[in-house]
Amino acid sequence: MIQMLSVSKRYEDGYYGLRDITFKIGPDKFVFLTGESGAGKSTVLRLIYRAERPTSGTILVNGADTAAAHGGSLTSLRRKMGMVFQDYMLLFDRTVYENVALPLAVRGMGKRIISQEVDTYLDRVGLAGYQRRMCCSLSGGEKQRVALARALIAKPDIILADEPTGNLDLTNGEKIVEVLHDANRQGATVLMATHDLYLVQSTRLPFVRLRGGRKVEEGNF
Amino acid sequence: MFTFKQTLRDIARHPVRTLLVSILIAVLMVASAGIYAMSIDVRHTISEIERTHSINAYLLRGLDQTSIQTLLEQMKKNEAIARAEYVSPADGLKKLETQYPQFASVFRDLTRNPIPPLIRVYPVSVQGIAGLAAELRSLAGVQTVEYDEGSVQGMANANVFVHSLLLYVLVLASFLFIAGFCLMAFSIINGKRKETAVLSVVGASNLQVLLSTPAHLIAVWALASVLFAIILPSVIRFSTTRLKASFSWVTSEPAGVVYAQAASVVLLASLACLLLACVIATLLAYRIDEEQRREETLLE
Repeated sequence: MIQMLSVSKRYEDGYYGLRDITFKIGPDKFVFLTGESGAGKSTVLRLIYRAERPTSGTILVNGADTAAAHGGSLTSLRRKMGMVFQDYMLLFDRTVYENVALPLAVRGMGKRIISQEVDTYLDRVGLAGYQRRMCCSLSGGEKQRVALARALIAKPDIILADEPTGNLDLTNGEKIVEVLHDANRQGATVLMATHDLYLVQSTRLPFVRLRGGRKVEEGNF
Repeated sequence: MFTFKQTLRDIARHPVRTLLVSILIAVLMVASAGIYAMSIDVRHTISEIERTHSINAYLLRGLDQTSIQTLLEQMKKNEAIARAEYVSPADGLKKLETQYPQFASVFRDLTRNPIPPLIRVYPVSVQGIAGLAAELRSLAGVQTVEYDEGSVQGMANANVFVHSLLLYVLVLASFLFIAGFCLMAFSIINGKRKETAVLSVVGASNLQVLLSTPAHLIAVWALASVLFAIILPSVIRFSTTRLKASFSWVTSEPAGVVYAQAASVVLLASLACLLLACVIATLLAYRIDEEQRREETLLE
């Protein structure tokens, strides 16, 4: 569960990324965070996975205040989350296997388990047999699916996706959303930032709409 | 364990790049150590050459053997004197006969030996030889002192020049070494920025994130140090051989001593640079999240 309570974020230059944002995402929900570029979608996600702290307000993830997380508690907070980025955040000089295996490797899992899990999740995102391919040689859609497999492999409670379809064509975008739906059906809370209103309307899922750092709408189409 | 494995995989993934960087660092280390070793050899050679210069302290005629021995012992105790030897008038004449064999009959026909007794003094250094000569002149029993002032002055000037040149080369080599090492380190740090950012979002612990780049730097430095230890003896052997060929009469410093001194100085310097690079890499890893935020804010 994610709760944002009167959250504001003001940067050093005085610019407000977010102003007084309050919303709640229950467990096992799939919610879109929508709005134009510069609305504050990425800032919300970055605050949730504690890449930065709010200037005021409270963010609770599964009841724990993210602002208080540091050191070991920050690591365990991030281990509850899987992140997907518009620019994939993949290591392009490595294979698909090495990229997808990374979350399990940092958790100290054994080689055999990692291998099985990588196979399972690559199959789930439709990339079975891609283990040895170098990430730099993949198409945009394939890269995003590798990033998704990496986000899902550690079975996180929460998946934060920042414009995962932003660089993709309609077909590849739909595949990504389908994989996220699948993860949500298996129990993960999904918060997906997108500026694609058509996508939000077509899925008829709950959404939070931001504009200029403020929440302007919340509900379902 | 994860960091260790990742570092080994990184090296295996880019063997040519890693080897190239290690070789470049090793070359910088060897060049600096080589110059340092040469400076040790040159300083040693200069001091050996300086020791060939001597002061002749002529003694009063008729000085008894006990007084001469006392004077000799007194001079040997002086720290500025490397060696002192007594040359009797008879020995002095014999040396002249050997030195100028064409006048041997003239020397033999002399009714009285004109050579005064003398103590030949070899100073530790030509620097301050004038002061030492004055000191010797003031001793009781010494009539006068003589030394080749022109040659000593020339040697002192050459000495100052060579030492200045050595200092200049050493400073230049140190600067090149530090600059080269830091450039390599920064290129590694820069190459690992994205990995650091990715590690932090996939749930790596703080230690795993912060140690990722320093571990790579340490691995490259260790490889470079091994190459350095392998190449350096050949460089020192070459330098010592050249020195022996040029100054065969000089007893050169043992190659092992030169190697140990040069290697330890350069390894310590490289360790200091490595430590600095590791601190910078750790601080940078700590700040990467914030930099990303700034980039994204700019994009928005």
